[in-house]
Amino acid sequence: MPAIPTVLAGATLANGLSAHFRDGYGQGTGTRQHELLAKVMDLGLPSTARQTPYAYYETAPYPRLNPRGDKVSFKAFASKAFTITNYNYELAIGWHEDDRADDQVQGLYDRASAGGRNWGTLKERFLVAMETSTPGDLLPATPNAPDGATLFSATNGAGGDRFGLSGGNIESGGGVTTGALIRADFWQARGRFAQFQDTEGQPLWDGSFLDAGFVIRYSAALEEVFREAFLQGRTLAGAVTSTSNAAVTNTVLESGIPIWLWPTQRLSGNDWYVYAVGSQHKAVFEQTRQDLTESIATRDNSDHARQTGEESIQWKSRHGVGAYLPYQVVKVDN
Amino acid sequence: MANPVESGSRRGSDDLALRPIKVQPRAKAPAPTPSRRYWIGVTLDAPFDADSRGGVAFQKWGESPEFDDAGRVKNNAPLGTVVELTEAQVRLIKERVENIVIRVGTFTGDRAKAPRKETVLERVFLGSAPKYRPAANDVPLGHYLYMVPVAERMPHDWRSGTPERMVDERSMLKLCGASAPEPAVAAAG
Repeated sequence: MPAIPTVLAGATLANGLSAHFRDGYGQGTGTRQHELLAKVMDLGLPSTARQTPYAYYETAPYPRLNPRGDKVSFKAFASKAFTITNYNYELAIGWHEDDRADDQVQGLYDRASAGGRNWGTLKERFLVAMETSTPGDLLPATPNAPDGATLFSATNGAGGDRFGLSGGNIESGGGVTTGALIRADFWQARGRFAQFQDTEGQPLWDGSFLDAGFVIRYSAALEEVFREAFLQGRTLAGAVTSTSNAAVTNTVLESGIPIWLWPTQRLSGNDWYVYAVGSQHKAVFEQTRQDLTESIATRDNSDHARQTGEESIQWKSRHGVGAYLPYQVVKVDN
Repeated sequence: MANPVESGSRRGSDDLALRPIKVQPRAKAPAPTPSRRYWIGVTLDAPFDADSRGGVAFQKWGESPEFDDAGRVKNNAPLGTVVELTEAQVRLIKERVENIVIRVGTFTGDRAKAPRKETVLERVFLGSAPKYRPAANDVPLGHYLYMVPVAERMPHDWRSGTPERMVDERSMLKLCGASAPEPAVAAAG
């Protein structure tokens, strides 16, 4: 086995070092799984093989007029199948046993163990990969939704309007320079949900879905304007003059529709996403073939450690990531 | 001659005639918005698989490709998609694409040790605050997108390779300086 790149511990070996600041980056809280993640993504679907096939039926037909004397009309409906492949997610961190022993701040092993803690970010990173269609170092490619189109698309795989609506689940936004523009785009996005159709051309959602609430994900750099859009109760109608200093109310706040704001550093730019929480199934899902496992190599159990003095800690898990029918998310592109 | 009903005159035959009410539309119905078909997509060397601008999705493949265990495409999924766009949509897409650069970076900030170039992707908007400051790893979004009008007659192999990009090489080099990416991938799969 070739030598492994070991932790560069040289700075912590000097005699007399104070361990006061040994925590360093360890105090960061960004590695926790976000509390809103389960509202926008299905997590932990069971998987028992390299690939997991899924299927669903399209909409059942609706009743229609049957003139007396005519034969009852039969109408069938179709089904769709799709398959999600599991991939391995692994990490190994090695160090020399002498460095661990001589570490004056006694933090090497603790910090190496934090590699496993970073698994807490994996599922949100899956979500971002799907949102931005950027597989990065997580996926070979971002899978299409089972209707044959990418997660956000104006058309379905057959070339028709996705969910029966021109523009599908993409809203061409008006920008993010003011809260009013963002609110207008939010109502347009909600209007898209309201106009989605099932495969029989009937309304897909009713008010119980449309008023159940929305999670809004956007770049953390846009925090101020998004707070203004969704949390500020009154804004001035225009320039403050003797005749135009009346305040207008916040139509989203006054509607009573629950809104969860989720600013994230993982998104950049001016695109943002509206996730309806009223859907049983989410647009993006993660399936787990194997939960996180940890193994530690030392002289006690590893030939490599005995021969080289290099110890290591390793983690592995197996997951698949897929897109379901994305009729509960709209992207506002700008 | 005055309308006999409006003028109040009565003649024997008028009593039996049906006189439906007619209206005259105030304006002619607007002509249909001109539209045509475009082949649009994301180049195979892009660090992302799809992007939407102006409400229209650009994607690498028209259907889900199959991958082997190493992540290579196995089947011949068609490149891009063919969509019907109006002139207004094309105008909006061009405005939006012109305004965006892709910044490829890493989480650690240590670019020399970055294991893969695609670690982090930022979409930077030229027209928005904070004001855009060029970086060595900036690539115009249009470098990774293509948009080709579909004509009545096209070469037989028109969809088998990536066409010219929305941003030509000269414009890209102007923005990117020395860090221009590799040339376009010529063929599918």
